[in-house]
Amino acid sequence: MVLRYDTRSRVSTYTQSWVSGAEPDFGVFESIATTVITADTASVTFSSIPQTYKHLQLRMFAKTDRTDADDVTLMQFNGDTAANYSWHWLRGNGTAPAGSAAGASQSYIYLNYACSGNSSASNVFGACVLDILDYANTNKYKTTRSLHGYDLNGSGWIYLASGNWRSTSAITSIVLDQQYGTNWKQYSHFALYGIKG
Amino acid sequence: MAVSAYELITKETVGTAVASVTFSSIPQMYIDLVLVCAARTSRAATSDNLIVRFNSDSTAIYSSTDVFVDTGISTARSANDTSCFWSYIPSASQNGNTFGSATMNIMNYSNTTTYPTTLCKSANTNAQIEYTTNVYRSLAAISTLTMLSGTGSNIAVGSTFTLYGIKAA
Repeated sequence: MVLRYDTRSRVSTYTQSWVSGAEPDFGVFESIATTVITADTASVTFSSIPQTYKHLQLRMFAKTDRTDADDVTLMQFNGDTAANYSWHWLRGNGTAPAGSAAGASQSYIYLNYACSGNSSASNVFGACVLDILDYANTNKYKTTRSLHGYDLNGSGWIYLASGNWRSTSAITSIVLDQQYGTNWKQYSHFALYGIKG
Repeated sequence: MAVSAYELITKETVGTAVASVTFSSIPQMYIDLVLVCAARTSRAATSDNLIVRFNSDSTAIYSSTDVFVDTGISTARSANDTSCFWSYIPSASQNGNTFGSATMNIMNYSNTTTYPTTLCKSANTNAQIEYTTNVYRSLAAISTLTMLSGTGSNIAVGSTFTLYGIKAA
């Protein structure tokens, strides 16, 4: 597994104002860290998350070693393994009636079918874009919002989901695991971004 | 100091109705692309399909799964398509100032060992919202995007398309 946590300053070569010598525009959407899986890896952790942003965005492209078409991504914050999580889904798979599902008092936020399993074609991965709003606010429980799914050319799932962590602690770490599989597969990647506000 | 990871690559506003809008020579140094539009077409109806082709590829190697809401909630899927479904958007029978809004995340677009996957969300004033995932079963890095009507209509004047790249750390 390769974990890169970049705290160095970098000059953007795509900012004209920097080239001209004027004050550069660093933008509001910044990369915090990216994990690229190079060999089977049990879990992914983002730790020591800076508290200087307003929101976080997690972008995932993932596959597990589960012997099935798909798997479930499990997410925990700050090492909290207690039953402090809940979620709702709006989902569809093309044939079954679209519907919703919910879980309460769980020990993870379940991102159902946000990743493909090892029985799907080797080149097919699940995708997920997940937002955590006000992650550093110590007066609020934390809410997540995600769009995720996969398609296998004749089957698949798409989810619009919300999650909740009933803690007012600022989020300083995120752990991503699989419900059924044992490892994340090669070429999976997990990228964390901070959004200023 | 960190730099922005969300960069504008290119944008286009349609000044004369056209059959398609194409973004080519897309840089390969990002991890994901984000395509955004506010668009409508000339189809003689209240809505139309907005589709995308990658690398000018019109072979039957696209597929999708979606959930959409209009008067109720429905789900659909398609296989072996010749394009990537993006969004329902308003067309000629809708109020002339009405444009649909849609976003497409194209994940891992430049990786030549995995198939790109899209995550799309859209809304149009025909009381429809939709969420879709697509797979493009090609290992070629995506260097061109072509946006067009799925019914052969023109993209209407005033439609805008914007492409962003997202960098990894």
